[in-house]
Amino acid sequence: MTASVRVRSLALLAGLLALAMPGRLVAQGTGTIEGTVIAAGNRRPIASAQVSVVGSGGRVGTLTDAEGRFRILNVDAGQRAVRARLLGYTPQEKVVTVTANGSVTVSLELQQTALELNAVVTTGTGGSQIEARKLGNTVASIEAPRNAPIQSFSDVLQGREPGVMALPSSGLTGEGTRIRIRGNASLSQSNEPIVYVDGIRMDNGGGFGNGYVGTGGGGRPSRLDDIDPTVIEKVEILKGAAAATLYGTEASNGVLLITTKKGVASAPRWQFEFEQGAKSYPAARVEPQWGIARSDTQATRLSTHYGQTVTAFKPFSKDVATQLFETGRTTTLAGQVSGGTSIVTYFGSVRGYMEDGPFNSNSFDWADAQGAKRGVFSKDLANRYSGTMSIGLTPAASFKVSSTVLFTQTYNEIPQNNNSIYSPYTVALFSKPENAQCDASRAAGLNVATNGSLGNGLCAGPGNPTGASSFGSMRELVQETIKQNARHFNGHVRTSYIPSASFNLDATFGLDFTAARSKQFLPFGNNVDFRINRANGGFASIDDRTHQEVTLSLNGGYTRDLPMTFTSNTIFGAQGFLTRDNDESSTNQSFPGPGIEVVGGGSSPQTFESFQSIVNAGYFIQEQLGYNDWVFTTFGGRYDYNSAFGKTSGGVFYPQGSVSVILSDRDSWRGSFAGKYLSTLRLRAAFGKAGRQPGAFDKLTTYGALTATSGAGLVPSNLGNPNLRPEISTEVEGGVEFGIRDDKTSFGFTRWQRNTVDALYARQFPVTGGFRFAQLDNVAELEAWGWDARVKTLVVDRPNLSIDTYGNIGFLRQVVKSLGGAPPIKVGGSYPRYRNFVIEGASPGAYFGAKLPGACASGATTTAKGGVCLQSGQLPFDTDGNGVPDTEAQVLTYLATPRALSAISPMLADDDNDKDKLDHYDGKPLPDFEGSFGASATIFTNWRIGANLEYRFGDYSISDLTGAFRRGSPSNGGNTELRAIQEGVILNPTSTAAQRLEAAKVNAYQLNALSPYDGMNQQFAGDFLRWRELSVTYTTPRKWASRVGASDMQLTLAARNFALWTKYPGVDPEVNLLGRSGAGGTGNNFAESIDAFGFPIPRTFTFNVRMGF
Amino acid sequence: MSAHKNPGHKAWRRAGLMFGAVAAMTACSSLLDVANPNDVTESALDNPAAAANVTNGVLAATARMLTGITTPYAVATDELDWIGSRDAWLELETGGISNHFNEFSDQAFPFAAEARYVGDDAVKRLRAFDLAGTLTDRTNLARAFLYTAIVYASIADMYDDYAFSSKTTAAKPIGRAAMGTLYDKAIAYLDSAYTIANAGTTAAFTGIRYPILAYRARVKHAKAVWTSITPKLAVGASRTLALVNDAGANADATAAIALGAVDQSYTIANSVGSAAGISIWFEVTGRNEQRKGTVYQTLLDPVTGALDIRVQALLAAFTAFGTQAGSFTITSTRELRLILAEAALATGNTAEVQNQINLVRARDAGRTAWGGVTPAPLAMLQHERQAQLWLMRRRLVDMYRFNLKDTKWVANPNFESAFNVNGLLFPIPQIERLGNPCVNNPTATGC
Repeated sequence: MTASVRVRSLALLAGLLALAMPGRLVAQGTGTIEGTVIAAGNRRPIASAQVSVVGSGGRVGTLTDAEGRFRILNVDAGQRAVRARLLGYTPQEKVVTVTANGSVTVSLELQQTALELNAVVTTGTGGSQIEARKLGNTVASIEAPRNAPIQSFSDVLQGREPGVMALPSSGLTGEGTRIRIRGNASLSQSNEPIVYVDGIRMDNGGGFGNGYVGTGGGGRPSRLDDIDPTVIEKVEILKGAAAATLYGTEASNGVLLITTKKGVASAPRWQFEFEQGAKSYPAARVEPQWGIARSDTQATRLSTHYGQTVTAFKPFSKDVATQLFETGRTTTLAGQVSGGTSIVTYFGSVRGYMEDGPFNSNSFDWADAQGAKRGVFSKDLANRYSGTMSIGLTPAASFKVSSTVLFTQTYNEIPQNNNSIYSPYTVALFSKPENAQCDASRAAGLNVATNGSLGNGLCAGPGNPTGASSFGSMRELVQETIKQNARHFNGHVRTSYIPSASFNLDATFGLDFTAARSKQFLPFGNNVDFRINRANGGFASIDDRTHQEVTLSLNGGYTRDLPMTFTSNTIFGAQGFLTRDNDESSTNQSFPGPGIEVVGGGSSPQTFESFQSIVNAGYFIQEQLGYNDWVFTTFGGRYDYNSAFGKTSGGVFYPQGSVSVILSDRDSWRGSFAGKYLSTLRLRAAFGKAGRQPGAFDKLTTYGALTATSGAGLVPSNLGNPNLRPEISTEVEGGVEFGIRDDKTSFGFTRWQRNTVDALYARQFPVTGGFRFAQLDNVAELEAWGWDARVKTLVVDRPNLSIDTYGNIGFLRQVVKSLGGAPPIKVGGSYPRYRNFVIEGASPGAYFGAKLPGACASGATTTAKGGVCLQSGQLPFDTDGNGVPDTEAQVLTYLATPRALSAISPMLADDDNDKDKLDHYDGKPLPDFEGSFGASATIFTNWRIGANLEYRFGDYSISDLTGAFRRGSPSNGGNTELRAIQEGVILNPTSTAAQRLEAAKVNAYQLNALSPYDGMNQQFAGDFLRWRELSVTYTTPRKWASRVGASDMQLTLAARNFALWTKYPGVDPEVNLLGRSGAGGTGNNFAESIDAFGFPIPRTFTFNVRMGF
Repeated sequence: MSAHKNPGHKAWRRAGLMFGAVAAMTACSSLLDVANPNDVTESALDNPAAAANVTNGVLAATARMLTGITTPYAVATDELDWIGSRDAWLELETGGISNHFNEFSDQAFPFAAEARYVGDDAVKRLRAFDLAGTLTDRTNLARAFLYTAIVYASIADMYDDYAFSSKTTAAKPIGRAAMGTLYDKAIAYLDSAYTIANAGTTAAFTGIRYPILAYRARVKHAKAVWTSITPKLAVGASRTLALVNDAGANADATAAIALGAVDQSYTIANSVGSAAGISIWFEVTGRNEQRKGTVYQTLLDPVTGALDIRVQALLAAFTAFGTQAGSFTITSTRELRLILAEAALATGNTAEVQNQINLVRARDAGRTAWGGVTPAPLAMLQHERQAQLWLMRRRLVDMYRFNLKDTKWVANPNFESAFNVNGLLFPIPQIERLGNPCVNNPTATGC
């Protein structure tokens, strides 16, 4: 059976099941319910509250408008209960009498609450829903504030939920965040959660493909950002196996459940939004590039070049890197409409987001000898055009059909970036101003006397006027462009059969499809300054990635009352997922002339193609027993199959169980001692298992193609392991929630523990065995535990002022408990500058590196294990090469004459004397604590202010590789002020030996880095507090809105990444080596907290106008 | 509840049907048996029809190995100078080649290990085909012997130690003293190759005789050189000169010269896309991490006093390869004549030394004949080996046996350096030490 046949079969099966559902139309006398919904405390109208007729299954209902008004049409005549609800408020019901063709008015007042146990959450694939209070596990629900400065899905997640980190890589335009929920549940497989949109599995990858398009690591778009954030109703987060068991294999890192907005029965309601924004990088945090002239001759030449006085051995600086910064612009245009009847509802949305970000390369477009500029320069653009349509049909009370389609077209363009020698920002950061050089000899007509310098830091012709590091001039480097066009479709059809209020069946067929075409291009003749030798004839690379996720889901629920006040809620279901990923890429270089941009135009083509197919299928059942509506136990499990193990393997069973006890719902609670103080109290506990399967073909021993001059050849590829099985995460959690002041203040606490056994580990076997690549093996064990706590309180709730505040904190501790005898892994393989390791007994991704010898213990001449230590009077230098630390007198003698800093390199410590000088623990990359806090206030009736601050702290180390280069590299970097000062001293013939010694000490203890001193002077505490969001919204008087024909209008001024407080000496503690990728692997999982030349996180200001009609 | 009884029962029946459908789907084994079109499984190599592809794999792996190991080797000598950004090259440049953490020697090693394994594996498979009578083209077996011999000898040229593991089964390192057996194995493979090549009469058979014989001469000479620099000396000690006069090498060299053209060489080219992470072509001409050694760029011909024409030609030819692919000279008639010249010098036959060296010099217009006196024969031999064997992985051992030091070599306070340890070769690097418990603990169970 071919894959396409399988897809068609699944679709056909879904269609048949849909057609099998019976239907019948209903016709009765109907009337109208209308009214208002207001907040009980401050008496202000509540917008977007859900108002529905109880017992209609949500079919008969609507949303309130900006003034809290609602109108429900076609309500069956008779006594009806109408219910209003909104997250953050206690639902309220009122009974009204509806008459045929009549209208009844009702006013509903919702009490604001800080504790929302009654919120309905999703449990189980396929969208089964249940009240949160009945579950023993947590299901976090995120609804970003309506006026928050949110431009992408990544923004929706940042700073909302403890234990959930949305990690940016850099501030490059269009970049998505990596997501970590409760740390790392897998050592080798993806640590990203799986994502569902309305129950349909979604492509959670990102980047520019697996082929020849390479960006340096940052700037990777996330396919999750293809979701228009304005159509998201809510995001539910299942944080781990205890909550995600029913999602089975692949769910051990948690699950994101995105629910999109749907139409409700009401007259058409239109909303339009216009937003203009500005973005800027924090230039003030980027230290200028410093240098020194090493002779009077050089000083004279530099004085001429820069048009300023440069004195030998005296540090001077130039701003090179920040010349790449400008103020970027963002524009958003969006429109939505929703409405419907009791039979048909609809929701439609279109949104255009256009960003020309804060990177600018025009500063380096200086004129050449003929006065012409190059004019072809890289940009940072991100344009997303999204359309969403949702239709709901209810032809009968027992039958529903709904369909939602999301489509996004994305265009992204960025420069080369991060740890790339061809990144203009990287090379600019490492520029050494003293190396500025213009090349008069290379172009006729230039002033040889000034060597072609214009006297303002630019050249009249070819050259390297900024002293850019050795891989190319700035003018050459900014010619490269990286672009991506992506189209992302997500859609589903769901049929629901609801024969009674107690029973339902759903069948869903969904498809998520991504087609992303990426291109990297460097034009012919790019070596305009004769510096770059990468591909002087130019090159072009393309990558076409298509990704398809087919979801077929069948599930149902049955609720019934049992004897002795017991209740039963059974959900059951089965799902199948078919994933196919194709990646085709090609590259070529050396075009025959200018103008050619296609891969076929080069002379040495290379191609790449990969294909992956995964089938995952299983079924689940879960039973929830309730007692007296205050004790609930839940137990069930999922049985899963996966194609990674082939047809011969059996499935895997993942069990779960939980208990929830809402003591405050007992009848006796109010009269109890505790009930006097606690308005709500719930205790809960849960356990569950979930898994991760290996890659589709990891079990096989394979040989790959490698071409020889004599023809096609085969060489070892995958070592293979026929005994592979999924890794299993078992999670246990317990918690408590309680409210005081009638739930106007709430507290929640969760303690969790996760153990991953049979953990898939990329084990390095002896490469002398012939297979170079590490092979997955179920040998490791990973343990993690943590807790999170939250508090929320309504400080003031008066008509003219209401203030609510919140705060949360998450604690994480994780350790690699065992590698089963396998060797540790270093992130980045042989590359010594990434210091993250996966090693037994340490946090995954922990840092290990070099350090200087410490002082010897009293009376000792070596460390306890025989390593070098410093006795009194000794310094960490060995100028005579005898292996013994020098005395100060010896060093002074050595420094009697000027020396290069590299000539007085320090000795390294080897405390355990194991010949490994790079094994000193340097901290871990994820903090002990992270969380957020904030507040929102409503002043008078028109003003609303919101703030959100996010923080991380506690045993949190950042690897400042950018700073290591800038402090320690003799050739690329070595350009901080401190470094320039020391070089000026140690090289200056007029310095004394004592002055040079002090410079050597500063160099050893503060500057020296990189090989073989990797990790030294590179690790710094990354604790930070970031003011993530700030917004001020003004709701205009109705008459203002009516002037433009609107019914309501809000104006919002907002800022994102408004301020940063940190002692981290680098530009930004959130910058990281690698960006978004849905893939696993050591790099994607644990190349963490590495500041490797990425663009800093920009500050964004937006002005938003939102109008309803 | 009774009002919903019937619909509920119907619904349960429908649910049962649905579950049956899904259970059937999940039980359908074909759905779970996805195809892998990206690679071939190992069993495909058991097919005799794959013999040529298996052999080509050895050649491709050998070429990839050479792109990987040549760069760190050349940087450690004076053949290439480091000018770039990655300081681990500086360690090599200054002679600190014993640091098993060095990222570049660490990156290169797996490709040598892969080539060794795939070579032995190919020999084993093709021998079995041959014995079974299913090998339709025996030159494939001869080629497999030849390529694998190149791998063995290259490992012996460069590394201080090696282990012969197989897939997941670790083997303990054999030790520096036993590394000479790799040359013996290479010679044995070349013997087998030559037997096959000699048995055939077609051009495919006759064409392969020159590389087999020429390379066997080189390997025999290399074995003798290796013996002369083993064991490595104590810090600061100098090496007593031991010129090579190996009868087997001399005989093979003479025979190969007779087979080939006047200026024949045997080269292996790497294909675009088969670089080993550190490709010498990209490092030097693309990334600008190294440049051709200043010593070579300024090397004067001791006879003419001008820039050495041969060296300049080699440097230019290297640049002409571009940034992606090029070829390595495995051996050449020039090298063979220098082997013969050295043997003559060892026996005091200066006339033959002069003869052989002038036959080499005659290959390049402008390199006038050497008179046999100035410079002295030993110096002339050293110069010609330096001039003729650039990037042929002979320089480091020549520097040791002739007691030459790169001016950039320095003592290193953190690990042994070629500066003060004569005979120091590359260690088993960290990647193998991690995966092979027998490296650090050869007496462990299973080693």
